[in-house]
Amino acid sequence: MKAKANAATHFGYPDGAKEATADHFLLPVSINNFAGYLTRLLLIGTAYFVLATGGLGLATVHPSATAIWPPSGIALAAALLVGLRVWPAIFFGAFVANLVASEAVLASAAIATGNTLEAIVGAVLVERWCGGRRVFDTPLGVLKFALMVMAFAAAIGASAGVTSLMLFGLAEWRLFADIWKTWWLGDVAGALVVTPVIVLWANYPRRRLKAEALPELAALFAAACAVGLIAFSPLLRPALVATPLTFIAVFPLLWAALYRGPRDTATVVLILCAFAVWGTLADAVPLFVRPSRNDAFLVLIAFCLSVSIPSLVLSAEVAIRRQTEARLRSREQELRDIFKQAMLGISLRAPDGRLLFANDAFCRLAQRAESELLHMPLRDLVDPEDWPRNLKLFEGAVRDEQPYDVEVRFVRPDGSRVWVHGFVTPVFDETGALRHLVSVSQDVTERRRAEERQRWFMAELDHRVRNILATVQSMLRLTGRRVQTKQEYAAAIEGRVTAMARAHSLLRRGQWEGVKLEELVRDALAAHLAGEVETIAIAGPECLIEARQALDLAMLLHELATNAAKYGALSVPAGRIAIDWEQKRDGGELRLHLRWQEKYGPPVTEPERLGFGTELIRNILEPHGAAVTMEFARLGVRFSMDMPLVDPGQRWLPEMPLAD
Amino acid sequence: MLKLAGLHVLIVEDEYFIARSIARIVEEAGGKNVGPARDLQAARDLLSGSEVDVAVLDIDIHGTDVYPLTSDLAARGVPFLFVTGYDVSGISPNFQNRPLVTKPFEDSAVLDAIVAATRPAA
Amino acid sequence: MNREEKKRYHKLMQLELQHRLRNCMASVRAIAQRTYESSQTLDEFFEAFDARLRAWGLGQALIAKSGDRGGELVDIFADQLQMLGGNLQAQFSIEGPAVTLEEKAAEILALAIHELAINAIRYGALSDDAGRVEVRWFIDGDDLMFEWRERCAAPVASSEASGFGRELLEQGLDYTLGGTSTFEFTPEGVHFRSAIPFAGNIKSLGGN
Repeated sequence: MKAKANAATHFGYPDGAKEATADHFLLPVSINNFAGYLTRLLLIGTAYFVLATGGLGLATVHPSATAIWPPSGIALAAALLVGLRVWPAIFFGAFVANLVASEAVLASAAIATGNTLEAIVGAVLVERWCGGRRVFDTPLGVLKFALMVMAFAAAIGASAGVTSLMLFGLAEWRLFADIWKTWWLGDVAGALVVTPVIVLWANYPRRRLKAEALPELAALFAAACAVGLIAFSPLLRPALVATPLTFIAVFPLLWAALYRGPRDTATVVLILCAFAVWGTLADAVPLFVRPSRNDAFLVLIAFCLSVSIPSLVLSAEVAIRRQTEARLRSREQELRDIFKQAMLGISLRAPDGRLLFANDAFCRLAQRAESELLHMPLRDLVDPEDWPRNLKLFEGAVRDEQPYDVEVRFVRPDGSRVWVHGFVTPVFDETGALRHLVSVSQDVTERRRAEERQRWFMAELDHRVRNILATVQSMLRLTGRRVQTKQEYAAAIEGRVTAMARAHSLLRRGQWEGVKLEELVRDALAAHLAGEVETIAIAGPECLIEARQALDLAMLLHELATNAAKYGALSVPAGRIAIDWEQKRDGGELRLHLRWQEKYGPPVTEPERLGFGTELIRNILEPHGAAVTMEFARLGVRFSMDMPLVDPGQRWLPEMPLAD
Repeated sequence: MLKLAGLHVLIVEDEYFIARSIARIVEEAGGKNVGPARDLQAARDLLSGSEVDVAVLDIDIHGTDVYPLTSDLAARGVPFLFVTGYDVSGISPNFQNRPLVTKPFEDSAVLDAIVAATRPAA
Repeated sequence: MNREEKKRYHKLMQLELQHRLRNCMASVRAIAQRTYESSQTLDEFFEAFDARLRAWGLGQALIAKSGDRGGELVDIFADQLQMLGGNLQAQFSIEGPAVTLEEKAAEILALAIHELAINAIRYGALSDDAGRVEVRWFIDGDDLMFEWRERCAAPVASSEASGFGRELLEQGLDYTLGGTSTFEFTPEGVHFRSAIPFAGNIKSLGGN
């Protein structure tokens, strides 16, 4: 049979309470500890005998029935703490004590049996239904204990005892009720005053006995003794003989119950009851003075019960509350610590958007102190552009009672923006109304920037691949009658593709910010020069061309150079080319004016020159808004171009991915 | 005069057409093709199973760098060069002094680089 | 990221961009070269190269459209067949689970499908309205098994597919994808099979 778990057992006992439950075998479990077992039996039996004899010495209604019966408390405590196998100690203790008092062997045996049964049955009932040795830790436990004792244990003991007396002719049947009443009350009082003290001290021998607490404990017990002396003892009686001061017992009891817990309360109860017994014996308690001593004892017992039960109940309740409070407080502190320390920003806000709580990480996100943030509406934190989106998601979430994700920018006091990803959970109360919103936030600026960069990269790649494709395709399409063989065709394509590649290289060298026009020109002609410097004359101011325009200008120059090499000035040693340019400002626009003049080349015939070159040239430059003229003068080809220049300072790369 | 006469050339390139282009350049110049190899493992297999005088390496092979292979090559005393879309500054600093051919390439660029790679170190 | 890191990142991105573009250009040139070698006349070259370039371009566009540079096999078919005009799709039965290919695989399969289709139009099942092409693919262990089977109405003479196409299908695919392909002529037309290993070629099963 195991102790039934009750609320008390779920509480942690931080300061060394004994946890073991007594086993419930009527016989010792093993031979190993037989010596220990016997020792225990001896001790318990002896204590029982001594107190029983003392109690029986105070017997009034019948030599074998007494109202002062601490042994029942000891027996029950022993059975609860050590186990049912202490029954021999109880039996023999009771037997011998009764034998000494009544000198009736059989009757004493019968009474002893009853007492033993009382303890055993009481213990079993308490284990089964009241929480075992934890019975005094809860108010309900105390009440149930009282009930078990009164209704069963003591009743069994009293019934068995009185019936034995009657059966063995030691008492008259007509006195059954009186004797039974006294016997029963005595057993009940014994259990309710003595058992709690023993069990509670056994459970919590060290609780709150640290150095700081000892003075208080000593003061409490001293106060209890003082009250006992004043209220009950005969020592002060002469001065206050008629004044019933019994009520001042309340003070130490309340003190113990409210501030010291069940164990100390039970101790105070015991102290007060002990003084009360003393006082009653000395007829010093006005309240308890009665014509017959037995009646006085009965009133005393009533006092003891009415003092013990409420105090134990109260002290158990208070103890439970204290523990719960302490646990809640420490739990709250834990949560608070987690909340504060969390790496993610956590915030709580009211339905109207005001912030109720914000942890450190959140404050860092917003770059504001918590005091500033509290009661600040969320709207003030969020970038106005992102607010409508957030609002929409919020409304949807409240409607569907679902959490939602959102990415918005927080505006910091210095005006800078940070991208924040929030996971927001609406919390509703019992009526279904929105109570508050919990949100977990994270700085995702870097991730967004990384995504942005990735997207940009893909887009650039795609864009440029398309460029290549388009160029090659237009080369294909602009097939001229002039091309005689597929060799020429293939060579032309290869040449152009290579030119494109070279142009890309130039750009990269210029960090993609722009290329000097002179470099473009020289590069396009490099392949055709091989050292003859005089062939080409280049003149023009330093002019930085923006990346995209540079690529297309490179293609253009390649075309012009290839044509010159095939049919024009570069196809004969005498040929010369003059390339010059200037920049003009026209209105708000900067324009590039470029001229390419060939001379001393072979005579030009127009049809020959209409190779892909011309159309391609126009195609390449058109998107840039360039005006192009090509003249096939007899002297040589003259090409001129007028194009608005894009400011190379205007970065080709979007600002966003790389901005601070 | 065939520039690569008798030279056994290991080509490591994961794109088929480019690999074939290089192979053809090598053959037309009198060289003998070993491979081409499409990944490092195939390259290692060819290296251990055949005679190799010089290796032409693409730098990005199916997303992995070809650099680990260079230790195998160095262990066998095989000189190598790179054919790649990367600019020289995109190459690991340890190898920036090797002969480099950028794509798209002219036939002559490849031949010159192979010859340069097999020339004894100055 | 601090300034230094940004500059370095910027530089790396540029290098990567350039690398890919150059490889692109090299591919285009290579296709031009092979086409040149396998065409007899200028017109032939022009037609073949133009078509191949467009096929390649469609492959690039498909890859670019997806967020992560992958391409779905069904989409490749759709694009390529549509480019060749008419209502070719009607003569196809295409079966297979949704599979997303990696960039390189998508590129070369686009070209391969183009070649198979062109060949079928010239000499095979697509040369008239009666022929059918059965295409299917399925997963077999670590490989994606791909099959193209033509069903010509009338038996075909085993005329050669173009040099470029044949080379691409028999060697180029295997080289690039690391798998094994077989290309054979049956009385009913071309029967082409390829085992494509997952590793490095398949991005995921299921659509984007």
